[in-house]
Amino acid sequence: MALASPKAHLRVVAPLHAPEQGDSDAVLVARARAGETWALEALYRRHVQLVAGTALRLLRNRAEAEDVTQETFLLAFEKLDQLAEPAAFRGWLARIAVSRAHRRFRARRLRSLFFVRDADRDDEVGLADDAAPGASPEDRTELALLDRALLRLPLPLRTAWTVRHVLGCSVEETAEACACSLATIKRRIAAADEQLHAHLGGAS
Amino acid sequence: MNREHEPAPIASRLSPALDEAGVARTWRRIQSARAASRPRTRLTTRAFAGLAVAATLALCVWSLRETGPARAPGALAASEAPLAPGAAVRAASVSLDDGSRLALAHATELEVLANDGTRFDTLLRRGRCRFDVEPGGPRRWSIETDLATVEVVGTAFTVTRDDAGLAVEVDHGIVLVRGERVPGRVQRLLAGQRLTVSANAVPVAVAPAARPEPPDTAVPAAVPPAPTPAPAPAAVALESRAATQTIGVPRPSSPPPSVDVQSRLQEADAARAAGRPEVAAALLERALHEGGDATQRAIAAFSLGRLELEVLDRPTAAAGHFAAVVAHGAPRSLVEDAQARRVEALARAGRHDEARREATVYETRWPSGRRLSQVRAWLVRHAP
Repeated sequence: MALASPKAHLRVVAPLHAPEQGDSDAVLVARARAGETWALEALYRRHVQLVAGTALRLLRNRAEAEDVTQETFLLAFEKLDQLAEPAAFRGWLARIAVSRAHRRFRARRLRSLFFVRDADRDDEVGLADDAAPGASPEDRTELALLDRALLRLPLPLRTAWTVRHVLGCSVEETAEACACSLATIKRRIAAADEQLHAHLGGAS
Repeated sequence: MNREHEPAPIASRLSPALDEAGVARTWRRIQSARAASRPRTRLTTRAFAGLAVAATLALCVWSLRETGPARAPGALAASEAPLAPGAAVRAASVSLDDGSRLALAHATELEVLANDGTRFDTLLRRGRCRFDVEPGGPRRWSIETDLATVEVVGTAFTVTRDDAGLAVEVDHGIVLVRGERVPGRVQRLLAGQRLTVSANAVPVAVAPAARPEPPDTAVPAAVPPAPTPAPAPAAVALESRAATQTIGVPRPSSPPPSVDVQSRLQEADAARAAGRPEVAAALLERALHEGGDATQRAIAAFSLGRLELEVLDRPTAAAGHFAAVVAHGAPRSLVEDAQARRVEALARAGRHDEARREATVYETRWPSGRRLSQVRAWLVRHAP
């Protein structure tokens, strides 16, 4: 069979390995470890919104969030052999994303010490800016209030609450993402709830 | 992880953090970064490591500048012909990037066996080739024939393999000729000397050696296929063209048993050229188990794989031999070829899942590999 064009065959290998819907993270991780690149792409597509969402909600900047997403997956794929529990890939990935986002926070703080203002801070993206199309004005207002309240939380509390309630991770995954114990994460989420409640005047 | 009765996360009321274009763009960036930097380390670590390496290299270069270069450049390249292991050189004239030149007569069959920073090995199946090797290079040049091996570092010489046998003629420099039929198994040829190794049992008459005409593609040399080496002892004549004086050594009455891998490869090649692929396969199998260095074993395994695949139509066996090439730690280019041919072998054997897996391995290791389109074509061609 003759080749039609080089581009027509750019992805012959990957489609032949299209993962079944039922492929668990553990299966995909095992296949990726065996060198099957399609499994890496499957893992990426499955979790990219979680990673990008984590980065965007914490950093509030699209360009930085995209960078962090790229860094997170690069690091994850590089260290895939070190993942002890393949089934816990999602939480592990979130942990890397949170860690990379926190590195950015540290860099920001360092720059602020030298009075270097981040130009891209003008492009801040809040929850209300990202409201789904068709969201009501009330929804947007509520999101804006929540956004403002979240910004007043200390970073550990904000991170925990964002991963748990904004991104919808389980408590266990949130603990993994924040690199702390279940008890600690529960305490942080509860503290964040309490402070948000206070900031929102009991209306949240 | 009990998520029952939980309210929908706030993310469900938000647009996706990355739209489809962003997802695709980020994936492309990840792939590019993975291909570009492996292994990836922290920036600071890399910077310090880079500085340390640069300083060490500078120190080495400085300390070695009086003792000569220890440079190990990569494989030779030529615009006229592919020089990857396994490639057949068909161009009449080939200029290599180190300044060396090859001139092939019409109908000459020359194949590259190995090409890296330390060696350039070719197999002259038949015909005549003049080698003009740039002196002072870091590579050991080796020209294999079914009758002997010619080794050189920097010189100009002509190797002819025809019906009568093998002739090596040195214009300048020094070459070594090794082989079972060479007196003492090795001879050192100086400029102006000529060595002939007969393919027949009948001794060659010692005569003034006529200087062979330089290879000229305009004049067909009409070289017939290389004959099978005769098991009986062959005659050897080593001559000085100036004085027509035979300085060769009479060959022993019976040759010592050939046990080295290089000899096995030569014998196997001769058997294959003589239309005895089963014998060639058996010889290559023996070569695989008779030691030799990793590269030699890899070449034996690769040759055997090709024989099984292309001549004996045994793709399953071929797939195993190509896998062995990778295991033998062969030069990178040979490993790439072996990985690609393994895909073909598995696909032809009907082991499509394995073929696809191996294709993925190939694509991962050589994202811009020169066999990539072939690998994909084989998958398509032999798809169930």
